[in-house]
Formats: sequence, structure tokens, C-alpha cells
Amino acid sequence: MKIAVCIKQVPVSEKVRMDPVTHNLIRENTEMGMNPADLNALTEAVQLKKETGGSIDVFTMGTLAARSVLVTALAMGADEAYLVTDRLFAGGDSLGTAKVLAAALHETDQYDVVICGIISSDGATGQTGPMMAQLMNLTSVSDVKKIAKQDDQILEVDKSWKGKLVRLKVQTPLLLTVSLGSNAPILPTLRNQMKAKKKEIHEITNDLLGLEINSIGGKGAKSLVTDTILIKKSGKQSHMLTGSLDEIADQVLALIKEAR
Amino acid sequence: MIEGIYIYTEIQNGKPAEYTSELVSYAESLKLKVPIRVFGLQGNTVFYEAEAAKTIAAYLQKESPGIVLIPAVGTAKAIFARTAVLLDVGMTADCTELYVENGIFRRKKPAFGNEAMVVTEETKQPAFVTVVVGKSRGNTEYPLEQIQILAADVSKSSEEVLDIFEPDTEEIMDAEVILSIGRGISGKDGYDTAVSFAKKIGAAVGGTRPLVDQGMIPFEHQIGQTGCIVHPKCCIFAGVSGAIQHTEGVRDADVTIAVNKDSGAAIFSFADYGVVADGVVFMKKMMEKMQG
Repeated sequence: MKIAVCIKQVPVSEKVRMDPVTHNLIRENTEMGMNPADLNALTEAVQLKKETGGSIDVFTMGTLAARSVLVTALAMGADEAYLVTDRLFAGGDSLGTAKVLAAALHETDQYDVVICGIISSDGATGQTGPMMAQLMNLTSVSDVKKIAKQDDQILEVDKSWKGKLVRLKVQTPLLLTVSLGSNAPILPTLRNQMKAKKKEIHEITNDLLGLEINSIGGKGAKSLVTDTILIKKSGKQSHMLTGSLDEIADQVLALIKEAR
Repeated sequence: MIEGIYIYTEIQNGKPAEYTSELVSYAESLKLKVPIRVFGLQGNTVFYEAEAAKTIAAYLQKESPGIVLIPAVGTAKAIFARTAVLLDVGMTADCTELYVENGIFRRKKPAFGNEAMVVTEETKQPAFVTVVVGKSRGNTEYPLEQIQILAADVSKSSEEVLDIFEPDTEEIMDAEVILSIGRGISGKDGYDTAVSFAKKIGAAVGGTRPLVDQGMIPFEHQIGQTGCIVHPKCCIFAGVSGAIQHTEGVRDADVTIAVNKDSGAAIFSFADYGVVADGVVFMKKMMEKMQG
């Protein structure tokens, strides 16, 4: 099977800084890494490839700095990596991003399965994957926990829904969004990391995609941020329990009992 | 001009989702003198995302409401992301506050690691807005007969529902007492201690996102804005730093107790009671007490 995985580079730290004028994330000096749900998505892809054979192409849209997540993806088991990068793509909303990625995949190959992480830890809209599916006219299944092969063209997937699992039989081609924490992400060996660093990373710009510039990036955004309000820290202070550890333990036990 | 507020809800076993009334009260709080309608999808058609989106797009095109409120839950978000493409409209995710200002519908959503709230608006109608649900409890059940049920044609779909079953992990949504663990609880000893302590006090174990990312706890047990929002009678935090992403998910707990060895941890400006101690040491002490 030909598998494509879309990943995103996100800030790793919880303390993200924001530019008060442009309302954009300040990415300098912020430690960056692969979006956690994308680690799960890629891990599912590698497992699926083991079952079905084939290849995994990994795509990310971002600046040149985003190459590092593609190197990680190659070390985890992706075969080819594509950096989709252009100034025209900057400032887009999730639809703009979905248009760019869908076009990049379309230009590169015809994929049987496209896999995305369900949500990014920074933008956190969870829209890009399903929007890509709509743009590419693919069947989609969201919130997937498990992917198994039934035959060469049919997958069996378990998705999470309202506290239950739903098992679906789905024909390829299709797009899946994988839940955060659905598996233990692959930890690349040092050897694979070294190998990945030497691999070529293909670059895709809008020269190749030829997307209408008013439909992507900042110009194409339909959701507008009109204001940003910093959250004031609450003035609340916990009532601190004091005494020996034994005494405190007694107080806590009493509090739990009282609460029930 | 905003013409009508439409609310999407999920229906499970013939019952509207528990958050339906919550979404209705969000719509009512806007105090717009426009009709408020609730709609949903019939039976299993909700799992056929492509067909579901097509059906909803056709319905909304016919009805042309100004605002569509969507619960910020996995499958609904995916269906409406597809619907937004079909209708060529924008979509704001995970809003926590809705209001009207000078006749313009606006909403707030947490952003930038929850250091700030951003105010958003869409350039086109209908405005698709996903709303964080599960904040208020004890909602009255919304009557099914008032919901417009749409039937999607899935006969030509390339997918098929085979089974719906219970996952083999315990639920934390309904737990009365929750033990929430964070990065301060590490390694096998830390995790095992937390599990035995929770068992001893009859609590369910939940935790912060870093522990889910490490694979220490399953995603279903992640508490916070990108996980579950819980309403326990009592929540004990062990080794939790107190990032707002996490505490937002426990805001409605009756009593909260935090144990952290850092007296300056942010959790001590959230919890009702605080204990400055190592989480693992403290849980072991509590178990020892309960034995004696």
C-alpha cells in the first residue's frame, strides 16, 4: 500500500510566547518537535506497512526549520520526506493548510491511505485532516485507535466514539485521523537517526502546486482573530495543610471522606 | 443579520447527547431574537463522515442559519470540517465563550498554551463554531421529538459499520473521586504507587498530557482541554504542576487537594487544599495510614 502521513512541527514546551502585535507564535528559542498525535499516526503507518508492504511518504508544511521533524519521521520508518514550504502558505487557517497539503499529495503520488494525527498540540483545531479528505474526495474515519488490514484494498479500523469503540470496514483510498495516545510511538535507534540525517528531503513550493494565492495563506483565511486578551492569573491560594506527614495524611483522608 | 442558530447534537441509542441542553443554553445566552433549532443524524450514519457532511451541507444550505454550534468532540468536529469545505465557510474550534457585540457574533477561545484568549469571527455565514462541552452538569435531558433528524444515504458508501463495543479501559468521566497524576510521578514505582493508592481510596486514575505522551496513561484518561472534562466530588493532584490546560478539565470538582514538592507550583493557586510533599512519598504514607 502507498501510505502518506502528514505531520506538523509544534512547540514542545507548554510555555509558548506570543507576539503581542501580530498575534503570531514566537518560534525563536522555543524548543520544537513533532506533534504528539502525529507520532501516533506515523507509528500506525509503520505498523500498517509491516502488514501490507508498500511505502510511507511523509509531508509537512512549514518553514525550513520544519526539516527536523521530517528527519525524525525518516528515522521512525518513513521512506521519503517532503517539505511543503513557501512564503505564500504562511498565516493560513486550517482550510488553507489542508488545500496546500492536499495539493502536495496529489502532485506527488496516488495514495491508498492518508494518515494524520487527530489534533495538533498548538493550533488544536483538529480540522486539517478531515478538510483534506473533503478536498481530495476521500472517505474519512476520525479518532482512530487501531488499523488492521483485511485484504489488499480493505482496512478494518476501530474508532472511538462517546466512550465506545466502533469497528468499521473501509475500502481504500481513504484518510484516517489517529487519536492521541493510541499506541506507543516508535523510538528511533541511533543508527536510524544517523541514516535519516543523510537522506534527501524533497521540497515542494507553490511553483509546483500552482494554488490560487488568494485561496491560501493569510489572504485566504476565513477565520479571523480580531483580538487577543492575556489571561490574568487567578488570585486564589490553596489552604496549605500543615503538621507532620502523618497528621497531614489524616487531614487528607478526612477531606476525601467528607467530599463523598 | 444573523438568521437562526442551529445546533448539532449526537444521538446514541435513541437519546440526545447529554450536552444538548448545554449547547442550547449557549445559544439562548446570545439573546438574539432568532429561532434556535437542534438537528442530528440518524443512527449509524454519523460514522459515514463523507455522506454525513454532504447531508448536513445540503440541509444548512436550505435552512441558511447564521450560526451553527457544534460540540467540540472528535467525530462531530471531523464531519463539520468536511461540511465547512463543502460550504466554503470558516470554522472556529473549541470556543468557551460566545457573545454578540455591535451586532457581530464573536467568541473567545483559549490560545497560545492558554496564556491568552483570542476573539474570533468568520468572514462568511453560517459561522461554524465548535464549543467545549461538559462544563455544566445536571443538565436536563433535551426532548428527542424536538430534534430534526437527518438521514444520510450511505447505500453507496465504501465503508460499513461492523460492531460497536465497550473498550476495555475504565471510564473516568463518571468517577466520584479522581486521582490525577502529573510529571512529578515518574517511573514504574511512581505509577504503581498511584494505581494502588487510587484503588485503596476508590478513585479513578487520570492525568496530564505529558503522561499520555509518555504512554504512561491511556488517552481516555487524559484530563484537560484536549482530554476529558470531569466533575468529581473530589480530585487529588499528585505531582501535577498546574498548567491551565489540565486544571480547566477539573474546574467543576467540588473539593480539590494538591500534593507537590514545589511550594511555588501553579497548582497551589488552583486547588482548595495544598500539601507540600513528594507525591509518591505522600501516597505511600496515606496507604500506610489506611492499613493501620
